Amino acid sequence: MGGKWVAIGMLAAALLPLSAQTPSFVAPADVAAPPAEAQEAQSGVFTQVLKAGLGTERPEGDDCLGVRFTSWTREGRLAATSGASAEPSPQCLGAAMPGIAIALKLMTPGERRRVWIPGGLSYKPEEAPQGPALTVDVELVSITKAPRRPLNLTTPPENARKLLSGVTIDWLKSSKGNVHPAMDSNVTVHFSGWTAAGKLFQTTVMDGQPATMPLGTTLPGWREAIPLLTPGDKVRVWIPAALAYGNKPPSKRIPAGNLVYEIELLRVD
Amino acid sequence: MVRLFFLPVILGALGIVLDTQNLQAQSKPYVVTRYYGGGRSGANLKETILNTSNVNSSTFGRIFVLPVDDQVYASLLYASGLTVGGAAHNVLYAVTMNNSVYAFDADRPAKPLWMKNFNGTGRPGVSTEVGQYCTPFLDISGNIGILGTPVIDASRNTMYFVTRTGEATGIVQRLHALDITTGLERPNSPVVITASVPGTGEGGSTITFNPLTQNQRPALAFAQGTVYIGWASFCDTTPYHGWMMAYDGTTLSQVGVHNTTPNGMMGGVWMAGAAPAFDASGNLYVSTGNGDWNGTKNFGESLVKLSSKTLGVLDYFTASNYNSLNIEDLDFGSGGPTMVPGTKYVVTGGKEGKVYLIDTTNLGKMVPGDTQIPQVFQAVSTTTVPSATHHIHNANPWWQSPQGLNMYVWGENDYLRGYRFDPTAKRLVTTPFAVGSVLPPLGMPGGMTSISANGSQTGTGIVWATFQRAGDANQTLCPGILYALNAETLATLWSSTGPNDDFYLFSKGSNQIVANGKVYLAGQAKYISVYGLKAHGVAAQNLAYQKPAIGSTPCSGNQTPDKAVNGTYAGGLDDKWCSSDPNPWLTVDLGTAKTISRVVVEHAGGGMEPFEGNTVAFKIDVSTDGVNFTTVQTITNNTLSISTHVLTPVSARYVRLSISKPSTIAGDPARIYELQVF
Repeated sequence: MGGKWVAIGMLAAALLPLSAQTPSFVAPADVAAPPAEAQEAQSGVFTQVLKAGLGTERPEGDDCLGVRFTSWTREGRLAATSGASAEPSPQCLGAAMPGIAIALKLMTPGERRRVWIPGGLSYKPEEAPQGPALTVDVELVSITKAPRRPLNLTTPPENARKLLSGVTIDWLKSSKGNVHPAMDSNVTVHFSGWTAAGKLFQTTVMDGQPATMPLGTTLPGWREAIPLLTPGDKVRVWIPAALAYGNKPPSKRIPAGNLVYEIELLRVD
Repeated sequence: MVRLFFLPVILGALGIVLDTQNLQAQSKPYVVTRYYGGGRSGANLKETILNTSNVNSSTFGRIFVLPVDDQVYASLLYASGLTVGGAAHNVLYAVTMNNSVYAFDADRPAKPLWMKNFNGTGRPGVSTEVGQYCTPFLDISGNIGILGTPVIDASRNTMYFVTRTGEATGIVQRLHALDITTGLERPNSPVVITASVPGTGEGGSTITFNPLTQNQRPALAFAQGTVYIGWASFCDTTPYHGWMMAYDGTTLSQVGVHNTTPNGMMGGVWMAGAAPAFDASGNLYVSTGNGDWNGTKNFGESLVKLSSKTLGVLDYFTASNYNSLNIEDLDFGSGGPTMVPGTKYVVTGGKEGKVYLIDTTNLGKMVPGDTQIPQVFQAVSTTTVPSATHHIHNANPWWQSPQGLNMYVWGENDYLRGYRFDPTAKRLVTTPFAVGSVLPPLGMPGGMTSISANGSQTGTGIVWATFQRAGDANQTLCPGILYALNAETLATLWSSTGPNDDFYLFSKGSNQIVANGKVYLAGQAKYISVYGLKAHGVAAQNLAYQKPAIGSTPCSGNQTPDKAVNGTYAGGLDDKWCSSDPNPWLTVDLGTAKTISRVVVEHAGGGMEPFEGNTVAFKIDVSTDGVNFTTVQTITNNTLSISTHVLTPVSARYVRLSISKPSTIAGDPARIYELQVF
């Protein structure tokens, strides 16, 4: 995978080759219950530092991480593992087990912890509300920072440009160019999208791979906003639900309601 | 007429598999099985017409469509130069959820060479009678008839497929064998599918095949005179198991049965419609989904190697996190296996977005950490849509390019990624040699991909891919889009956005096929779309295209009736007719009276607007004088973004939509992106 891994994370990975090369899938002696020295993080999740990390940066929000992990049931049966590969396993905080996300937010790159997760916080509640308790050895290798969540998700600035359709555009960077895309243009963009509640649901930024698409096949709100841009422009766009996916999209995987995008137009073909 | 569909090549004791794509390159294009060959390379290497220079919007596009009677979930098949009705034809075969089989001349828009329906005195199964664990069950909507892709024994010109019918006794599944030149049943055909095996998984001592709960989802396969059929479930509704059965291709007698979880439950063989793969000895490889595992009788979340004909378990690999996969509904078997061409390896991918490279001579069974297999890695990036799924569906195609042996992966919520096989290390290089720039909309299922190329020649390799252009195809019928990408660079060559290029509703189960310079693509809107070089002729089948249109007062001066008959949905928000009139209507004048039999309407969702804005209720009226209209169809509860309306053939010059409920949202205007008449 590509990505803008935080440099300190790469350093930590380089300093810890042994953990990558000699994974142990044997359950630790204290798999059944946290020892007295383990500390409760929150909600019954206990953690114990096995190896200190480097630096001070910790995962937060929608960051995506490189991790190595092995998990066991409380009875000591192997549940899952990132395996023996030297490459860390990708794990975005937004998709992590609730209990492991709590622990990861405490860690810095290079750090290794043992985490005791109570039942119900092990797997995603919607998939396994009665998920079993797990004990997890996890090493944080790297952090890819999520794009910064805009503070004005529900209130565009007064000087933003308001279109008749209800789309509002605020220029974060203007190239002052004069080549605007047409509907049959292929546009290459970096973009990130948030719900009004602040959930990052899509971004090209963390993977470092811009997206190219025929403008005429994009979201209605994009078809309103992007023709006003020129390559080099970066905008924040507030899109009403009716020009996004609606208030009742056909799938829980598609965000409902008003959405906010940051779009940087890189190229028009 | 002997065709090279599957020819085992054994290279000594090394267990080297020579993928059938290499064999196919020496024969005429003859697509007799899903993904082109028993190794499931997904590549047609005999394509000498289409290349990276002529697949572009100027020269390439949809050249005609072929109507069928229902949705198509199965992939299409094709035979070159087959004698049908006394004349030689290239023949395209399609099967539908109404249990119909079509043989079309693959080179022109014409009535079928033959068409047969196999409902008999019954009816097709329907989606409301299955999948009770999902309420409502929406993985499939409407009829459930022939779902798995058929297979053809080219040496006997015989096609095999499984029908599903509702009869007085309940749901019945039958294996049919047809003469592909006539559509007539072969001797001994059909046979009712039944089976039982010893097992304790359902509380007794025997597991009996349940035709109601078992979903014949994977493609059928054929080798060494034997037909192989697999089953999974509808939305994991139990009781069900993974089943594989083998039938003699001539007698249709059952010669082998394998149940993946006889002492447990589940373990479906679905593979998103992919087919079992064969090795050089005719052994089968199938991937299983969520289900029980014990390494002796139960093989959920596994790649299982089964013996030819008898279907005994020869070996297996089980992902060591099988328990977690079960808990999180992360089927190992959401993708089908493909043989790595020219090697002894097999590759498969599942819902985690991981690719497993496994040695066919030693699958490795279950070892903590999966350390016993050559390679496992995350092939689908999880960061672009960080809280969503990243499943691999269908199967990953391979192409021996001028630069090396490539595998292509287009998982959910990610870009197309090309990985190269390192022949020295005998591993895939985990950094892609190229990443495409096209990002499908949020949702399932990722790209349905295949390859066409002229051998390994540079400039000929094309990755063909379909996905939804809006919506989530997991439980919704979505408008689709077809892409062509350069297989050497993954640069985009073409997409189906031009006038009359649309293939309407995306089929999540059906791969496009390429043969003799044409791309054949099935959809859920009761059409087969055929793409090719426009210079060879484009059929003017859409009678409404660029014809005069009038309608009730438009929402704006740009959203006028002519926008609904310009053949495309992709011209922006103004590329539609919109009207806020309390009684909106839209009429197209075909110029002269024509016999019409179908109307296709692209609603708000067809233009990527929210699906809740799709027209709910409307009438289709026809007239010969523009004054006196007759209603030929009344639609009261539409939810589709693109709806196909089959009419009793009628003479009409004017076709009118009279809309009584333009949207699910009160106050919304009527929005029609396309009104097409056939």
